[in-house]
Amino acid sequence: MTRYLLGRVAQSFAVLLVVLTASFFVMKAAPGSPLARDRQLDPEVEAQLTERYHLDEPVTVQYARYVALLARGDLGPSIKQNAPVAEIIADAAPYSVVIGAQAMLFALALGVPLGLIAGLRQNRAADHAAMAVAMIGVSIPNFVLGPLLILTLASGLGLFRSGGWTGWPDSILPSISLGLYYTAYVARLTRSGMVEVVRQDFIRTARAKGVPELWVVARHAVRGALLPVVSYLGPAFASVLTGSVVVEKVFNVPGLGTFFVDAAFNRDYFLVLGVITVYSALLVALNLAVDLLYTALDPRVSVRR
Amino acid sequence: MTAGSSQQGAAPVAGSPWRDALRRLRRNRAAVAGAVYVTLIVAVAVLYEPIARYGTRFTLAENHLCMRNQPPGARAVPRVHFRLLPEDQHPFADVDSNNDGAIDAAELSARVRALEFAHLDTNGDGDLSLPELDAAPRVLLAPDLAGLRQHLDADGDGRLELDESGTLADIFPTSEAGLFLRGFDGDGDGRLDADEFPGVPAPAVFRMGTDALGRDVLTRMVFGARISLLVGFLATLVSVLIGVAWGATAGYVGGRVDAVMMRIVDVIYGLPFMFLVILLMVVFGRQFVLLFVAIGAVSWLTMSRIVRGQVIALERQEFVQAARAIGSSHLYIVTRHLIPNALGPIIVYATLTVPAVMLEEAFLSFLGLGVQAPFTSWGAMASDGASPGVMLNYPWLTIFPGLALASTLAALNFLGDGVRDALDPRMRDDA
Repeated sequence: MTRYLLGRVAQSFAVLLVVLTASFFVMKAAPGSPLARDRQLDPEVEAQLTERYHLDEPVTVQYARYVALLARGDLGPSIKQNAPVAEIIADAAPYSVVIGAQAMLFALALGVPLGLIAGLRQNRAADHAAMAVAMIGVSIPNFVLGPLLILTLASGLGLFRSGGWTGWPDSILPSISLGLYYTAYVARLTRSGMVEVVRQDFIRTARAKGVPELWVVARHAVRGALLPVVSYLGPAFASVLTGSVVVEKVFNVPGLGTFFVDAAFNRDYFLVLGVITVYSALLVALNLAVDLLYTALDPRVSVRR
Repeated sequence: MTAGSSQQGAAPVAGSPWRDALRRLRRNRAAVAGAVYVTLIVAVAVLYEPIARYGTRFTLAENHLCMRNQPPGARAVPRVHFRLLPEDQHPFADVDSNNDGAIDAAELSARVRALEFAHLDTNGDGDLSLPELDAAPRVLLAPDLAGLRQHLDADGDGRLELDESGTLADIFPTSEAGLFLRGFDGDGDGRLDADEFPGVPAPAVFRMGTDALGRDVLTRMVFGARISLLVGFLATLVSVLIGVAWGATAGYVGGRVDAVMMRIVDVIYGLPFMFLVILLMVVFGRQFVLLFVAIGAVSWLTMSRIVRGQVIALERQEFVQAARAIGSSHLYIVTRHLIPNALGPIIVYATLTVPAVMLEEAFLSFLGLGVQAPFTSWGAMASDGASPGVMLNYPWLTIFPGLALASTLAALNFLGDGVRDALDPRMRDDA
């Protein structure tokens, strides 16, 4: 187990490095410079800034310098914002994390029960209704749902503020906009898992023994039914992170995603790479957690693969 | 995952398994409805030119600058070639001011200018105030609007009346009056006779309102359908090509190569790959080709897994061994035996990939990284209206393209699900 874990951690670092390297060279291959501004910089200042950020060195040297910086736990300075990248990210990340985490919680809390019920009531009215709703759910992009929610619940009924961030209540609509897609998807996965499991022999055995139906579901079926959901969690996290870029824009939330796109446009190298590093690290950690959870849920999956 | 495995031999001819699948698909009402809707949208997308010409009577980039952000149902600005007179009446005599039984270009200009003046003079006091002037076409937005107004005010009473605005004739597009007239002048005498006049079209209406540049939302949505679907299908094609090639290679070669290739898929699967696409789009300009290549390049993972599984299962069957025994090359076996027999799952997953990549295109366009002006797509249009201030004041900018996108995605998803149920025997047992 420890060996497996160590291997996975090593692999995670390798993945991080690959992402970072790819992003770095894509960014550097781009035309344009972080020093390009609306008005011409004083040549002396420009030379000074070029010197300070080592923009005149060969790309490979810059790359080595950046990796060395990262190895010391430093994300470098934001060229445009005149602040350390770590500080900017520390300010912005909580918004994204709150919205993303709530969206996933919402998806699991609503999607799993919905899918279980649909799976148990297979091909009955409840199943068809739940799956039709889920199908519509996976078809509404978050940037369409967001404005719809704003127009109805926020500006129409006045239940929420329509954008910005003053406190936790402002995170509700963004979380729902982001989470609905995953709710629907999780419901579909749970249903198909459930449909598969309830036909298995061990469920029939449990029922034949006279185990109460609720216990059969809760103790025996759920565990197997959730396997597809668990393996979907990894890609889902990746997608939630990207999705939050859009939701933050719709709801005017000063989260990480907003910074990422702006920074990419401005060629703010360190900020872009910093955001990608943080996102990737988060994702790699979550994927690792998901894998461990999977092995815990399914005894057939051995740790040594 | 075992569709098609009952077939032995090369390409799947229109034999009974495929006919059975089609029959099952036809019985699925949601899938049929989805197919009908998708066909309709495809038709609309293909027919953009005739629709724009005879239906909406606007074109993609045609901007009516004094009609910015107008709600659905607004009438077009009286630009000569779009509108001459109110919709339900053809008061020939009104336009024919010298009563000689025909309308000439001068009369037309006068009429159009009066209409434009009336349109700009929103409070109807016969005076174009500064804010009213400001709403006029872009050419009017001289840097010194107040100076312009003063200059035009010939009688110096501080008001800008209709006859004074005559100097604006070049600015209001009345110079097009002659051109317009020619289009309906059947006998070519340079005048519009009483019998030619009814041929003049009624004013065009912005059925879904206008955007911030005064462009017709409905016309743009029709064009947007074309881009959204095109990207959807092309990106799916790219993802199918990569996915099938990758999966078939891994599955057929097997061993260490397979392990490495599939490990790469695993790794990419858990990456924030969209971020790299965003980065690529930001960095390398937003070219159309790059758009669907980039989207396709991140959407092939599941396809490669499915194809690999199929190839591994099929490879063990007798017909492949027979092919090998008679000395068929590897390439031949893979392309003529294995891939055709895995076609069922490939089609199923490709159908489900189309809405997924359309969503990704919309996502990129929403961030301003997708298709660029003068073209547009549903995602780009939704993005135009999605900033907080705009959304509350001009909801039609987001709602209409958003609903078009959502409904098309739903239709594609229902269709894709139906295709899967019809082609995948394992799923069929469930249903």
